Amino acid sequence: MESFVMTRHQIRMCEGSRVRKRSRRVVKWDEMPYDILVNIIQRLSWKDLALHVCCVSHSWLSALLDTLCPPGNVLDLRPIDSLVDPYYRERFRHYLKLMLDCRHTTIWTKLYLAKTCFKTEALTCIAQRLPLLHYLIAPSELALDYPRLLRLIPYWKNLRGVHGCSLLVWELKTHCKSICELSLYGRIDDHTASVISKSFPRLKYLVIRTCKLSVDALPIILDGHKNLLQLDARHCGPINEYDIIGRKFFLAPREKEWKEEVINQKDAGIMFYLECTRYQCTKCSYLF
Amino acid sequence: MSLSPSTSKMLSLKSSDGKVLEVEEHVAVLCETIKSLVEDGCADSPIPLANVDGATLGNVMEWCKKHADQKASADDLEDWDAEFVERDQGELYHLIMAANYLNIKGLLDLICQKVADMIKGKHPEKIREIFNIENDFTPEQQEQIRKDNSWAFE
Repeated sequence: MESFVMTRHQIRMCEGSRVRKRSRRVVKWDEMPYDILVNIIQRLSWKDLALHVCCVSHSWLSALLDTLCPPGNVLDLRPIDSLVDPYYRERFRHYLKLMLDCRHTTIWTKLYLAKTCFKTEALTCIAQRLPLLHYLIAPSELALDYPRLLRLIPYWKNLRGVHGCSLLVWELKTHCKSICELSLYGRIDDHTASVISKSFPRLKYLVIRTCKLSVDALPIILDGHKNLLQLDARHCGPINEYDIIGRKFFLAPREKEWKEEVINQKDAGIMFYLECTRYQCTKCSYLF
Repeated sequence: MSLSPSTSKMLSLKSSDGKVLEVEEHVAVLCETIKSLVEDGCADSPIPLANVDGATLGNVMEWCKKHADQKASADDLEDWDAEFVERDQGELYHLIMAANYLNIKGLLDLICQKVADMIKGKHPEKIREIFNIENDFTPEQQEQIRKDNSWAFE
């Protein structure tokens, strides 16, 4: 109650000065333009954001949430990765929950997941609140966590683009019919390749950079997608370590075929990136 | 160039309380709002600034004058700025509103940083007291914001 009394006291002090200087009215900072409040709050450290600023007033809390997640169609969870202190990460999650409870969550169509883990309950809540999600971006650090991601996919029937672990395609094939961009990491064996090949009729952009491929994976994919606009298969390696020795075995049987296809496709203005600089490439030179 | 100090012409700025201030053009154009008026050739008569009172306008132009002075070194400006922002919260509020209205990014950033520094390390009660903000949370809401939530475990 002391703060209330102090505030009233302050108002009275200001009113006193108003009598002396008529040009100055009592200024109330919660009436100032919202953009300026956001400008001020984004200059504060997490120590202040976690403890104090949130409790000042509704407008300050709202400005704090906007600082963490600027208005727009993107929900970005990655800032949590830069917080070292577990308590601050906890607060970040708490603010996220407040945000999901008070914002119009359907405007978010792009979701960046963080490296830092969230509880399954939290992920499910996020998934439920974003029914119109178009783009999902999951960092490669989450590759081992893919079983949990698989369970979220059914909530996102409108997905158009996904950057994530290659195994996600097994769930995407059943629920997401509008996929037109895939950017995958991890292993692509013959089975996964045939899922990619048969399940996404609208696929136009496929990036499988640095994936581990089975010998037939790329031909299988290409057989199903004659209308790709872009394919990026640079820095791909073989799925089995022993294939390293047989790099020729890995590339040679289909190399000529691909090259011809690539040349044909190039005439149609399509971008295919199949090869890196091989011996000079820092990522792949060990293969040659 | 017409904007160099030696040939700069004078502009009249009229504050919300009717005071008219004569300012050199190269100083006044630090305000983007005034600059666009000058560029559009609309700056002949006293420019009415309905949202800025006379005292604040004087302070703003003092800042612009210092920052339009090309002889001032960066260190010099920094010290000067630090002294310039030593004001009570009422004056800072009017300066922020004026800098926002006149679109002076440098001044706006300076004051916002000063206000952020004033907030640092303060408890919510203290922040409300300094900035004269009403606590519009119910005790239950307050509790809900403070408490740790069920998503907390990693």
